[in-house]
Amino acid sequence: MDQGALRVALVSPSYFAEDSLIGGGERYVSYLARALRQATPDLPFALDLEVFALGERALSFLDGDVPVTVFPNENPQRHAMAAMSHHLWQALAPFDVIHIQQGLTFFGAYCAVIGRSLGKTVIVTDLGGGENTLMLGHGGLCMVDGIISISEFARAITKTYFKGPHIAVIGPVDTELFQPRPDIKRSREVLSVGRLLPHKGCDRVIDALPDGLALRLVGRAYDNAYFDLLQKRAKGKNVTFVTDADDVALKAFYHTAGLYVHASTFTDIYGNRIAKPELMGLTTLEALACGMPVAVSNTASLPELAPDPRFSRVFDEVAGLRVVLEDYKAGRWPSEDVAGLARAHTVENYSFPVVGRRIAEFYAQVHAGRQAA
Amino acid sequence: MKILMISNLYPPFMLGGYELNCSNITRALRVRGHDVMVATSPSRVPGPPDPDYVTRCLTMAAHVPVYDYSGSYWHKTDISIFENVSALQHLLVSFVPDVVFLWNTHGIGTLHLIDFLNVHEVPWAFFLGDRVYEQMINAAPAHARAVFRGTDPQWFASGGMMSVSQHLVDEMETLGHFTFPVPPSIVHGVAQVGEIIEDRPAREGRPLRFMFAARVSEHKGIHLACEAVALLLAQGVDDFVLDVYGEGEVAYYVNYAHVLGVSGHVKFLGAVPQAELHRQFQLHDMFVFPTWTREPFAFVPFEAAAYGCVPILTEDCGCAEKIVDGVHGLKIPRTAEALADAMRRAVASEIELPRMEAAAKAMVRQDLTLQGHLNKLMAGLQSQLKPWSVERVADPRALPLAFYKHHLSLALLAGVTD
Repeated sequence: MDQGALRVALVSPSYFAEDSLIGGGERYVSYLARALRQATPDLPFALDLEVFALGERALSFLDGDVPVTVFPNENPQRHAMAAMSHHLWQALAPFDVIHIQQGLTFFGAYCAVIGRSLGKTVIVTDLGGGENTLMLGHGGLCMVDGIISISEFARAITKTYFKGPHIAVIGPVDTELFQPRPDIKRSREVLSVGRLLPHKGCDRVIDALPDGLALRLVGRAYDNAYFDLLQKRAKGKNVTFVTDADDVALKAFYHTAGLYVHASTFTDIYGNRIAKPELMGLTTLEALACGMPVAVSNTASLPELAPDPRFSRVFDEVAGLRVVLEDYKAGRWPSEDVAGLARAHTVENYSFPVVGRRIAEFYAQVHAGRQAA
Repeated sequence: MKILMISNLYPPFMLGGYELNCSNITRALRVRGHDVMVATSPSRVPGPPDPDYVTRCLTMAAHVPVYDYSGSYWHKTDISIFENVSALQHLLVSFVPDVVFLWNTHGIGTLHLIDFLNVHEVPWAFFLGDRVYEQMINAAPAHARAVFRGTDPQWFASGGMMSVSQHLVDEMETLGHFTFPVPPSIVHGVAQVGEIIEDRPAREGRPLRFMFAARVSEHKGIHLACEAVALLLAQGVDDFVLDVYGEGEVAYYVNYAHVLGVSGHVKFLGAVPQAELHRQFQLHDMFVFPTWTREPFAFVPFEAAAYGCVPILTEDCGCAEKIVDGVHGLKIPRTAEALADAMRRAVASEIELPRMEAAAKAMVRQDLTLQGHLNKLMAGLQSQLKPWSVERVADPRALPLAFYKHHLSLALLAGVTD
């Protein structure tokens, strides 16, 4: 490691791989590591970065060119968000800043006591994995020096518990991987991507779909009863379910569909209330990066992703979505080719170098403030 | 030097020599001019008011009636008691010691106390008079200890380690499955003895006088002593007596001696004040101490030796490290037969007792003096001294961190995941 560099460790209870977990939280860590790496050459200070994660067995690999070390989870309770390893004591010792992912979970509390005990600058990010009693109910965030929230919505949740340095940074998204393909003509198909779960509001998209418009729902079907319900509601409509898409197929859908819809909800079709339906809608960012116009529900962080009505709309409930879809079907919205606008907005605000720089600067600011204190 | 002593027990309530030694050393250090504060638990035994340098602010979870030996019991005794960490923080801030000197910490949440000192870089030393570390390591699963870095000897054994015997170090490392990062310095016990004021009666014309002075219980070997007497009497050897001093399972062993038919030679005389015990050392010829192998380093056989009462002791207990067999005493396998044979040889004058008396007296009075003991302890403490920050210990976030560690480790024991 560079002696003068700010040494940062990202710590995560899982990692983005088939043999660990593939979810937004794991993808976020992988994206963040690469964002920091891309931002490093233009920073006014040197930054060294490593990722530590927990899993079933010891492992080390490179994610991009960021070293990732996986330690076996030593907690007999195998819940991923309660993972722990005594190896973290030594592994984290050389670093200045410990950035804990899933920071409000049991894992987060465990890493926070290690970071605090070692005298490190401790920063946490909530990725929606859980809410540990000690961290929220008993003031555990006092062990933390700073919080990076992945949206203003996420920040609003934790800011009542923490009065220290706290920023909301949406992204990053891989704008190299997700790019427009002007050579491919888009259809007027509506696309929605995400696990087929009740809080994702897939039923709302089906219900709002006007005749004559096609809908493609892409995502794993983790809830059989809900999947059955979706299929019944889709009868008589032009709805296609894709439950086994890989990244290549997903990119192709982003390139061929005409409108992206993200319809997550606080209250699902069964009446269940969801506290954190979307801390950050990564798939919406991916769609924007590919130049798609997007329509998002007025839920959690999603409106933050739709700041410009030229390429993004926010809807309330099914009736509101139906209005958006009717406008889209009739060609009233978007009123122009907005691919360039959507793409430019995403690159300027959520791309790896931009987000990496903001977060690296926050690390440096919090670390300097703590050292000064 | 300002020294904060931490001991689970402190007189008047005592269970053994560990806390008695802590008390003696505290007084001796104060006599030398050191500023010593003692943090301990409340005594259940009434006594005179504590001196102002003793504060009974610690919660004690061991040596009390226990009705539920669940994981949380062991967690309290050897892993963490949050209230004790809080008390430690208060004492560090208010007393500002140069060094914290840990004695027997079993029952007061050892691992967390050490972790707190390490996290805040407060210098500390540990006088190991019993297998505290082994108890700490085996008290809770590794994943629960990991909250306090309790799987890393470089952390939890990083203070200045002093052990009463190498035997004890070996035992802790074997049973605890760990190795001290730096071998503890061996500071054998101290024999606090006075001048010899009684002339041992001439041997001729009287029975040989053996004595036993310890807790009257199996682990100290009282049963072996009774059985050895029975063996001697069966061999026709009867020109001796065995006087037993101490409390414990007296009724049981009085009956045991009766059943063995040795009551005429074994007298149970109860506990006597230390001064009287020291007088008896001068009136007896040999000190019988067939204690258990894991005896770390009892002081009593050395106190006896200092008065010329030659010890017969278990060959592989901690005390045996200081005794050269046939020079300062007799070292025997821990069997009634071996003890009977040693006693028989003494009764038959096959052993040069006067020569051993002289050697034993000289060894103890030269090697195990209080001043020598203090010098070694002070050297151990001096080696740990380093600047530390009161502000850091007093940081408003110091105690919350301890609180979260305590409860995280409890949650891990309970299998809680959220």
